[in-house]
Amino acid sequence: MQKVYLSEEKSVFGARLASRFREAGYEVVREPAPGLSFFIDLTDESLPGDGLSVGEGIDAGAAAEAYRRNVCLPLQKLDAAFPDMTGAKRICFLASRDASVEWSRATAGYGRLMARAALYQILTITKNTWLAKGYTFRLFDPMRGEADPEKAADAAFVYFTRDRYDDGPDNLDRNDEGNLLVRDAFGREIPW
Amino acid sequence: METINQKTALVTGADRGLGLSVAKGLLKEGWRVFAGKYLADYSLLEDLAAEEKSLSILPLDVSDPESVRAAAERIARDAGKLDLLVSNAALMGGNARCAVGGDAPVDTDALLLSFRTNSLAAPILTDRLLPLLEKGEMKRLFFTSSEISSVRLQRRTGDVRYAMSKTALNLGVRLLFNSLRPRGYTFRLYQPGWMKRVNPDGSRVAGAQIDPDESAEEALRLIREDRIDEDRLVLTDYLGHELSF
Ligand SMILES: NC(=O)c1ccc[n+]([C@@H]2O[C@H](COP(=O)([O-])OP(=O)(O)OC[C@H]3O[C@@H](n4cnc5c(N)ncnc54)[C@H](OP(=O)(O)O)[C@@H]3O)[C@@H](O)[C@H]2O)c1
Repeated sequence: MQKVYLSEEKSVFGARLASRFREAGYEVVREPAPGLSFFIDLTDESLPGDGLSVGEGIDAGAAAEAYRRNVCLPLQKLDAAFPDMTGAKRICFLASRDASVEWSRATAGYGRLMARAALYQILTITKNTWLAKGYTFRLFDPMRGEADPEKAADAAFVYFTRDRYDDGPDNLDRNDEGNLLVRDAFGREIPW
Repeated sequence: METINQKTALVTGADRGLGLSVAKGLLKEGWRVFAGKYLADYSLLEDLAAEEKSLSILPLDVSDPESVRAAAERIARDAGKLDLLVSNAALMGGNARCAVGGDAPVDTDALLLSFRTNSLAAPILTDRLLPLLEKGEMKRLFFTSSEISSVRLQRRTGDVRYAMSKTALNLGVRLLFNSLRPRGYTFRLYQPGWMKRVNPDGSRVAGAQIDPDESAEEALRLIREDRIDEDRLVLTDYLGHELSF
């Protein structure tokens, strides 16, 4: 049975995603371990102190803690699962249009959103090394507060499990898996 | 010495490299400059201060909010306003211990140090200096980023720690832009190019593409000139080209 690490299944989104994987015959585990097919981290933590805008006294301690929780700790977990993944060897994280330098309209949540942007960067660099070894990557914006979380989880399940165009390891330049991007619950591409 | 209506700038990471070159250029253009100095290894600023009455050296660790607060207090006391912030200080940072799937576990402390110095310092400085910037006329905010920050253009397989910090910086600047552009602030996000390192005696280490003085010329142009598209946040390089994020 293929194993899926899912960081949480308490939220509506997480619970639905877990049940979709179980229905499809996967074993869902809560601790990263060798032998995973999917590593799915749903961390997106807002800390009260990290909610200030410029001029309101941005809290450096809270922003750093939000950064630690939203990118550093998830990376440590990913690192623990690496490099012994099997099957799809797929790494999936949440994304947000608020963390798009191009599109964001946000004015607060510095630590949380800067963490998300940094995550896009390290996943891209990781992909540059590990794609040739069969690792694949997904970034998904569940459109929190906008899209129905169960429907968003259904969309995430499809996006996470479906392969993209792949011309084999000898033709990485023609491989759609090499083109890491963010998609939202409606399937739209969000720019970096 | 302050003269009436003299424009005032703070340049961080100004004791060598690009920061020093920008500080020098601003002084030449008649600015009053507060130059942030972190470690004691370089004395190039002190040499300059001996000749330049409009230069004040400011002890500043941008990763420490207490140090930023003290710097803001000093500028408030000595100048009472700020027209321009050049947030330039950065820590390069090695790579090995931060890569996923690397030889050692991801070093969270190293990632956090780069974040506090290279990314978070920009919003913290802007936040703490805002009352002074409000009193200034120019309201221009300049941030030194890097081409390494671009996710779209990223071809590297290493340098994760530094790259992450500069991408996070761009996003932090976007959030600042969203709040402050409607209040009349203008933004510069700059990729200075691959610059020659500066030795403590001011000479250059061999290699790299351009001299920090050359890169500073474009930075100064960006500071001096208004843009046609101030309502867009753009990352531009030392040749004037726009880079994608
Ligand atoms: N060099 C390049 O090729 C290149 C390429 C792209 C982007 N950049 C960016 O351009 C900017 C300038 O680069 P550079 O090469 O001129 O810099 P550099 O020679 O490496 O100097 C870095 C400056 O930042 C200061 N600094 C480091 N940590 C600090 C802290 N915690 N608080 C305050 N100041 C601190 C340093 O102070 P001390 O001297 O006291 O240590 C120094 O003045 C940086 O933002 C860098 O990331 C550089």
